[in-house]
Amino acid sequence: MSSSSSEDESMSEQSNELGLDFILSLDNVPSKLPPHLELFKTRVLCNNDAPVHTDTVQYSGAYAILGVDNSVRLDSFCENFKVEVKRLTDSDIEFDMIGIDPAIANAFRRILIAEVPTMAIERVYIANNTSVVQDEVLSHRLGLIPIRADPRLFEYPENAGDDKNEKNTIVFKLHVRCQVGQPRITVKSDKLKWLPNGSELPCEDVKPNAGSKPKTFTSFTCSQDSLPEFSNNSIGLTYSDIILAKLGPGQEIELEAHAVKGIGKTHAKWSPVATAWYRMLPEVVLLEAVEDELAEELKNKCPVNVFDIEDIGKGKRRAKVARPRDCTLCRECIRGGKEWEDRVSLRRVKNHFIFTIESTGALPPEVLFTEAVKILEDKCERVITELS
Amino acid sequence: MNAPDRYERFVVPEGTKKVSYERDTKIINAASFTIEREEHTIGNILRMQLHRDPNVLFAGYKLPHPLQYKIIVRIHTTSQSSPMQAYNQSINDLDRELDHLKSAFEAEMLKFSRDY
Repeated sequence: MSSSSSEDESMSEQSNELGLDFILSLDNVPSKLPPHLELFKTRVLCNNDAPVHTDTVQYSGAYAILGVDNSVRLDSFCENFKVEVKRLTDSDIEFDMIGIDPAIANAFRRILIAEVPTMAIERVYIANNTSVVQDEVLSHRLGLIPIRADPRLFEYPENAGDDKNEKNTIVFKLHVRCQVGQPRITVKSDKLKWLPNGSELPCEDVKPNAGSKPKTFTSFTCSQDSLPEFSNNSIGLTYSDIILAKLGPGQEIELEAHAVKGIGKTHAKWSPVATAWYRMLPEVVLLEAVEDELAEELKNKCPVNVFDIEDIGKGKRRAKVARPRDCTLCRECIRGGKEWEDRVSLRRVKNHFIFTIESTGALPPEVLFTEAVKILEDKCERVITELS
Repeated sequence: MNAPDRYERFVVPEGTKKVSYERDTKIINAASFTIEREEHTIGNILRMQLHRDPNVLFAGYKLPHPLQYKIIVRIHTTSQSSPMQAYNQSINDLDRELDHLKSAFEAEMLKFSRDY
């Protein structure tokens, strides 16, 4: 009896010294999660009625009772993280981010929509507008036109009363007239002409001296097209066929539009993306072999052709998952009774995000993402340095 | 009419600290951080990063009101750490993660443009 108690004491002393390492070294303690918990942790299961296990288990001690450490170290993040670009065009990009949390993916989405700066028309000086489109409606339409200008080359306007110079303002001019006796004309965005020398409209409140140049709405010290940064990539509009107004005979529009730098949080016209979204990677698993007529039925059920049929010899055919990435999780394949739910499992991988960015044209989509990362880094920097 | 100016959502007013720290008077190793002119973008990411830390017992954030442009992050740690330490550690880790993410993306873009 005494020998066993002394053994227990020495055992407890040993366990106190070694702690978790000692416990994990025991034979019957699991070093990793059991398969069903691993599945619930890494996958969203899309059942017939509703998705289950949608939460992300982030708490480091979530599986402490099983002796599994759920904390994420920086080195393990760097090991597991991967980026794969799937599609890239002038206006959009699709890429996979593997091994990140939904919080990070969502932060990028929010930043891309509302915090990456662009240039957009903010002030419109209307000299003459006899069209049927009211001044404020026309101004609003002009504001929403995407401008092809790199916002990184410009500064934010300090405030409304500040001097509008070549570093913070782009000036466009629109002057169209429909002659009397001519058919109606459609005014498109290609009629907006960039004025690299700044405003040409004289300020009403300032009386010019005889012989001196009248004061305009901007004070450019030099022409914008003489600056080296604009000589390579000239400023213009992304799309030249946006309808602004329609003019009847005798009607005229004469105005000047001033574009400044801003962010989507202030107004959606400064949002650099048409849209930015992500989805989790779909995963389609056949839980049992689906053969012959059932295979044909399964293939026909899917509206996006996720399944294919392969020949397995002896006149037998079997269904296989050919294009899981195309799956929209419409759940058509698991409708039709319990037996189909037992054959096909629809899931989403929790840490694999398919990101799509559609740019409006101010910046290429890949640059937009890099800018979003920089903005998030900058936010983190500010949040830590300004802590008193 | 009486709507606040849009820029108030992201411009910190003069005389206001971007981040302020207040220790909890009832629980040891607990504190609240008030971050001005930030929202879910940084709040959720910070909460996630804090949850990864084994020394953090509780981490959460809230936006007190949609028209109060600030978030309150609350952290409770074990005696081995402190809320300030956990906060600094999580943001430093996040910064390094983002740095790695950016370089991985740029490398992939280079590879993609070379291959296609």
